[in-house]
Amino acid sequence: MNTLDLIVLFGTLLFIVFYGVWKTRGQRDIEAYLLGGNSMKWGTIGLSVMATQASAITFISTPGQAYDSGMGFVQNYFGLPIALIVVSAVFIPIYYRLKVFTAYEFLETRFDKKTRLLGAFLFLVQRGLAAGITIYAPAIIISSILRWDLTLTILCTGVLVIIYTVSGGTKAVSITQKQQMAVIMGGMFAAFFMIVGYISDHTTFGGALEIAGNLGKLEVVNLEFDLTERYTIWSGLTGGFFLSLSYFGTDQSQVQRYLGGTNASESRMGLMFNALLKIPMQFFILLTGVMVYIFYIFYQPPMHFKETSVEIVKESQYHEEYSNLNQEYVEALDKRKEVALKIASRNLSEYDEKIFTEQLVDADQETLAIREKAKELISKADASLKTKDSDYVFLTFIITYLPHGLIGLLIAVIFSAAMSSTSSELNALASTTSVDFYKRIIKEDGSANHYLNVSKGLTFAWGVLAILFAILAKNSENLIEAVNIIGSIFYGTVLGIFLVAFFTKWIRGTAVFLAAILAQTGVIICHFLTEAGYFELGYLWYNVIGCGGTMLLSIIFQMFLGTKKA
Amino acid sequence: MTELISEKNIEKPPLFKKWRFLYLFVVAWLVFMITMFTIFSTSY
Repeated sequence: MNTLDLIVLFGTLLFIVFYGVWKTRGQRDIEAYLLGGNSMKWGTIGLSVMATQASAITFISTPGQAYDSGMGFVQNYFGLPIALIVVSAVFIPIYYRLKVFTAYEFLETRFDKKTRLLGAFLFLVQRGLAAGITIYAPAIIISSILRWDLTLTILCTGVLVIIYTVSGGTKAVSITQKQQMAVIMGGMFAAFFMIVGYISDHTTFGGALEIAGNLGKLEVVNLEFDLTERYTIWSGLTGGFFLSLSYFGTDQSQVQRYLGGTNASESRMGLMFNALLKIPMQFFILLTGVMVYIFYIFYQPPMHFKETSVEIVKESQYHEEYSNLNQEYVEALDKRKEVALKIASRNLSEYDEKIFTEQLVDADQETLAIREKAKELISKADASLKTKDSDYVFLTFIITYLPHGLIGLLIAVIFSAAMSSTSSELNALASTTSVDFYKRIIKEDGSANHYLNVSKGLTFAWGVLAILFAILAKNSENLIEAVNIIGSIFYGTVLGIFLVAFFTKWIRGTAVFLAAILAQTGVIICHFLTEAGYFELGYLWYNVIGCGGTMLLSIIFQMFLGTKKA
Repeated sequence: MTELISEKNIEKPPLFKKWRFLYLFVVAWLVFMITMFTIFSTSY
């Protein structure tokens, strides 16, 4: 990075922070602070909902995921549009009718205080953990690639977010997310067209797709019904539906985005905007990752993308072995490039094309096998090192090949995405703590000004906690999956509580409370048994188990307790 | 707790009829995308 990049990066970030603070100055009451004074139109809500979901991990990890295993990950989002329809038709009218600040207030109206507190507590646990990862995930990668101090990078992200989120509350979160989404999408489109431009020195866009297809990178839809497969159309439609329904319907970081709408119709339009655009957006980000893969067929990639791990192995007793392997890798890459260029020429007979395609697949497999051997050597050099390097692919490409200025903009994309998600999370964590715990249990008769100050203090406290958690966090094999796994462990149960609330009239608080605790325990046990290797289960199914378990057990417990008010 | 949303914001039943078409459009869009992705997967 040079001075121009730093000017673009810090200029963009500081502009967004000061814009957020300036536009929301002088807020005097809790209504404006927690619900943005109900002044948001559907465009702002739509972008805010999208920016909250699209964290930095989305823009770092998703292209890396496509680079490693193709575009199947997009299936994860197939259930999302249907879930958003249910939220619009069922959840939004109820939240608006009850005039709630948080989703969990509704649970007390429908059941009782303990069920409300349980729902709010489960949210605080999972979102509190996720907020730390949201800051930590981009920081570990950026600090590793740019050689910045990790703690300083975490502090930089966290402090910038705290400034405008504490100062302006929900409205500051929403209006800064508009700027952040503009930076994010502008940067991603620029990166995509640069990659396609580089590839065009060797083949057309169609030729690049042809090569990617031959290498199995463009298999978007998997129709097989296999519970052990992480991404299939079935797990996407069912597990993805439950995950999205829970996330958009019951997660306060999202509920708070659309409760800030002028009215229910604006909130619905905002959600429908997401229902239409989310899948194409994810498809585009994954396609960018596939294009990076094709780019690296024509331009030599490193054998391992995490440079700090490579340095460790080069300083170990395995340095000679690693160097020989690298030589082997370069030869395999040359072979793969040679075959790819023949396919890219696109003047082949059907027979030649078949032969060259087989050769390309073999050459690609050879490079992958060598990369695996390199990972083994890294593990031998230091067993504590994580060897999955897909999260480093996209940023390595940006730093190495994009022009100065655009590098600064792309790093600003990552920081903007981290800040947009974190601000929503801190805002929601503070609202839930202040409305569902502080106001409900500690002080019920405070003035509006008192609750405003408490909410600001809690936003600051959650920000500091998220920074501390990020500093203490350990590396995870794949960061986007880590966030989704944490979400899936808790979301199912919370969704189960809400679905019982919406769709049954005879089940009472005690039954659903006991059912939720049992179902949550069951999901946690399932997760640990899966991690320990006792059985295989894709994490999206945790949502189904948690939700189904809570609903089924609620019915059973209520039958035992009888239909009298419990 | 301060009242935040005025009565006019409470959803009225006739609105559902209007929204039904948008919901159907979203479902149709999803089906279209899955179909296009399937064709895309098999074309390359």
